[in-house]
Amino acid sequence: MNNVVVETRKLTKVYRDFWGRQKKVALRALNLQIMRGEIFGLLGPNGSGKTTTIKLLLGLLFPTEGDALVFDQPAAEVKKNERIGYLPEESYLYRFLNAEETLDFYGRLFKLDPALRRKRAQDLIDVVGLSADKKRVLKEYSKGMRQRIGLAQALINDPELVILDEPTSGLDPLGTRWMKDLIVELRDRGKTIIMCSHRLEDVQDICDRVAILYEGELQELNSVKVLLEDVQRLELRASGVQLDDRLRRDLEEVIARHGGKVEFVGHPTTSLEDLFLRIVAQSKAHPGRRYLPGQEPLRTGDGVGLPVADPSTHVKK
Amino acid sequence: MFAAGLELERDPLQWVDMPLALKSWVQHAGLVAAFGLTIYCLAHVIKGSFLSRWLPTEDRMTPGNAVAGKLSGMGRVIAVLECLSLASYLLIGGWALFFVLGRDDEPAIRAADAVSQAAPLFASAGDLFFFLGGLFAITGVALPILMNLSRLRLGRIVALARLSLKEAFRKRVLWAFSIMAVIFLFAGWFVPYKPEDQVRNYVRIIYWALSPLFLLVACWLGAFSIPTDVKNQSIHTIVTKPVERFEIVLGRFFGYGILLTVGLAVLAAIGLLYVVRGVRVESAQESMTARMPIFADYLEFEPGFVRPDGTRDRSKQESVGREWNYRSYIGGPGPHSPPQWAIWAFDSLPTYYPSAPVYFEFTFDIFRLTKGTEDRGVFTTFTFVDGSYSMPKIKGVREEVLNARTKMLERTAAQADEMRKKGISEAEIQSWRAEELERIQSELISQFKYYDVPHQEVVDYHTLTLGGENKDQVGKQLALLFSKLAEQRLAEQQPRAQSGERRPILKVLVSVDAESAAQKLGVAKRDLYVLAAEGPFWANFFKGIFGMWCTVMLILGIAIAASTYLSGIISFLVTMFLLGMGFFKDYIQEIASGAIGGPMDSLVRLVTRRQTSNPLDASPTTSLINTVDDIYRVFMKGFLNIIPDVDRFDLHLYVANGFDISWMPVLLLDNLLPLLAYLVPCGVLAYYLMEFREVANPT
Repeated sequence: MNNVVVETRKLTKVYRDFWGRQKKVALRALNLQIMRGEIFGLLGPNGSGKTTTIKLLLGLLFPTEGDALVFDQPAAEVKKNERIGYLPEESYLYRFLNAEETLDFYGRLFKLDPALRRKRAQDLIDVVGLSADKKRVLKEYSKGMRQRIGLAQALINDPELVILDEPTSGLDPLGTRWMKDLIVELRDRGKTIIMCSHRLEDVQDICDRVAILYEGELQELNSVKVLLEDVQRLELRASGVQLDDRLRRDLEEVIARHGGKVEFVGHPTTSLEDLFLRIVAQSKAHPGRRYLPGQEPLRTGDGVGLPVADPSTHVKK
Repeated sequence: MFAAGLELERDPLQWVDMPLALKSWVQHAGLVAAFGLTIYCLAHVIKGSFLSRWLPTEDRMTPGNAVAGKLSGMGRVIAVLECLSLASYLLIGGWALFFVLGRDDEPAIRAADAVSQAAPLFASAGDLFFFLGGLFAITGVALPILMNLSRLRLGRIVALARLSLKEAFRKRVLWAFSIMAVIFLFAGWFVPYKPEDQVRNYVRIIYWALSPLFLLVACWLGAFSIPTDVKNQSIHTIVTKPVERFEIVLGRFFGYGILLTVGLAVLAAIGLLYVVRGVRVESAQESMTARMPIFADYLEFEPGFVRPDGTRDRSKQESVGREWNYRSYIGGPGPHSPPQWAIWAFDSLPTYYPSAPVYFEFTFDIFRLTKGTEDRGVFTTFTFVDGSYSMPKIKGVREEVLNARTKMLERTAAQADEMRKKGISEAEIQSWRAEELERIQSELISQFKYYDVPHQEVVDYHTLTLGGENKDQVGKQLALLFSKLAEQRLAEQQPRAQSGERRPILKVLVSVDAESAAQKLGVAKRDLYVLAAEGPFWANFFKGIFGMWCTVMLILGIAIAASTYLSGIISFLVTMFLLGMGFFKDYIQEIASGAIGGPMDSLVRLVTRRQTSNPLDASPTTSLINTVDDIYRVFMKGFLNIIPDVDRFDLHLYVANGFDISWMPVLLLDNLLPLLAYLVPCGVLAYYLMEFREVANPT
């Protein structure tokens, strides 16, 4: 089996007006390969060609020059779409359908067996957490809910390649974490994911490789670890010690002996996302707690600055 | 004011017309296909990567590849077909140049004549090249579609059709049909009518209300469906599934088609109830039926219309100045005017008549030169003769019949006297006399193949049966005449008519009696017919709705085809424009044929205040004007081929006047096949426009 799922060769897209005059070069001679089973991120500022690349891969646009191959077939080949799932940036679904009807409709386009189609639709509705709202029309959904049902329709055919355009757009931190976990789970199941996002922290968290585009040209292409690793510096994490002057001096001495210089010694910080999720989890576990001004932030046993429930502050419901 | 007869400007298509119709379709559709194919091939060579998007670079038809001969199998076939098509069109040009500048002995182009079946399908070599060019082009355009037909899946089309239906329901499109309730409730208040026109009136209300409603809805749904999907980008989620682009088009068409069909059927059923409620007797007799007529094959006049050059045109008689010259008018005999006849000729007679009476019905128009007597019609004489009789012979036979009848009547009178002398009762004598008269009549018919029905009163706006209260008796005599004529034709065993020669089996002559000489009788070919049978009104009503359905489907197809490339509002306007032009197709045809002047000619006449009947002076300027107008007419003729013939699908006249809409000539040949002839090119256009469209391109 060919491990290259997506390949572009000098892929170029030039937008022209009705008279054929060049308006914008959206993509210039893009060469890249996306391997099976990886999460591939497409990064770049607005107008860099990320969405154009995705649309070329999906056959929504036609290349001006070069080739786009998906599963060794030209991107415009309809048959290859049987193995692809696509979540657009905005949820371009039919707002007069409800969740069940939406998945049923898209399932019919894949020639799924009716029983399988129904089961898969129901499972996906449960996975994306819309069981309680499956009978409501999409017009009544919030942005986050539409994003979830959009993901569900992208997965209705259990695709080998999933293309996600801004998958966490419009999602709250909980939804974002859920989406990222799901993407990782899909990768672990052997699927290939192409992710296009402005949210760099999301890409950093889950992508295996990234491509960075700027004004239609590929500026960088490598694994996240290699790209972000700062080989000029050293980071050391330790536990079971307290930071004091003696420890600081000892560390400086050791580093100086090896010809280096200590730039910073201190306690690491967690991400705001993790903090938020933990507060939410804590609130669920202990409902009724509320913040009071001037109160010292309570800490958990692991030393992370997380307010601990003060019984005197509980509000009885 | 409604006329009672079936006023059709042209005959429905027959099977004999099919070869010519097909040839014409191939020529005109092929011309459009050739234009498209040429653009496709040129663009392929210039911008191969755009149009060969599904091929890897090395297989695309770039200039280099084309020169090196590296074309795919399909590419080679299309290239060959394009070359053949162009060659055929160039041959037309060559032929035209050769015959315009050189020889004059090419046979004149003759219009196909339904009577003379030996008319050639191709009138000239140019006609043949035109056909071949179109055929090759159509093949080149259709081949990729046919090759890809196997990729279409009914399940996906059905899914998309269901989506369209759901969308229409959820967006409350059906509410538009509720406007018909207003029509049903209040229309009758505002339309006055005579008692005999009641059903006609109701039928027209239903048709004229349903037709624009459904046409507008069809146009709206078709024009905005795909552009809305493109604008909302919901089409992205479909195109990125394993869905052929053409399936999207078909799904929309069938989805909305089903919606409109069901809506039309339901409203038509309600409309039928509206029509049949409280119908008056006079109106029921006129229109609440479905007459199955057998029309004459042609109508001519004696002595005919005298042209300015002194020759006679026997296809028409007098005009009384009505704007629509559908009918010609005959008058009664006068001291300064010869007798005038309208003569209907039947080339064949149905074979199932020998035992059943034959009923003739007619609806003539009356044009009064004087007021005449109130509530009194125009008196006419109907004469039925052997079709082979010429006018002089008819006059001679009439004399003989008169003489023979007189002698027979004298004998009968003498026998009656003898019977009285023998003491036989008067009632018995009268009964015997009636039988004898009938026998005399039958004998005269058998001997002379001649039968006349004098003094028939014709009134306006009514369909009348020949014989009136004695229609059964007249019907029996006519049946006898028909059977005698059939026997005679069988016995003659004449060879089939040569090209251009007519051999009617029956002629029906109508003349105005002397007592009504001051009035004119307007007649047309379909004003007189044999009533073969009658069908149920309700079935005919729905057949008429089928014609409306054809128009609705046509508009839906055009709108969807336009919407594959144009925006919603532009598609809507284009479709409505074509529909509007379709209603004026006859007028545009008149312009294109040169019957009325072109724009330059009209401009000159406006400026110089010259009458249309006054030809322009021969000069180089006039030649230039005529040339410009000829070029204009060429474009108008081309434009004519794009305009749908919507009048063809308007069958309400049949229903309103109580005439059956036949399955074969009218519904199948004259409605369904032309509908397909329009929809297939629309489908081909939609296929290519969708296939090559970048749905995500904002420009």
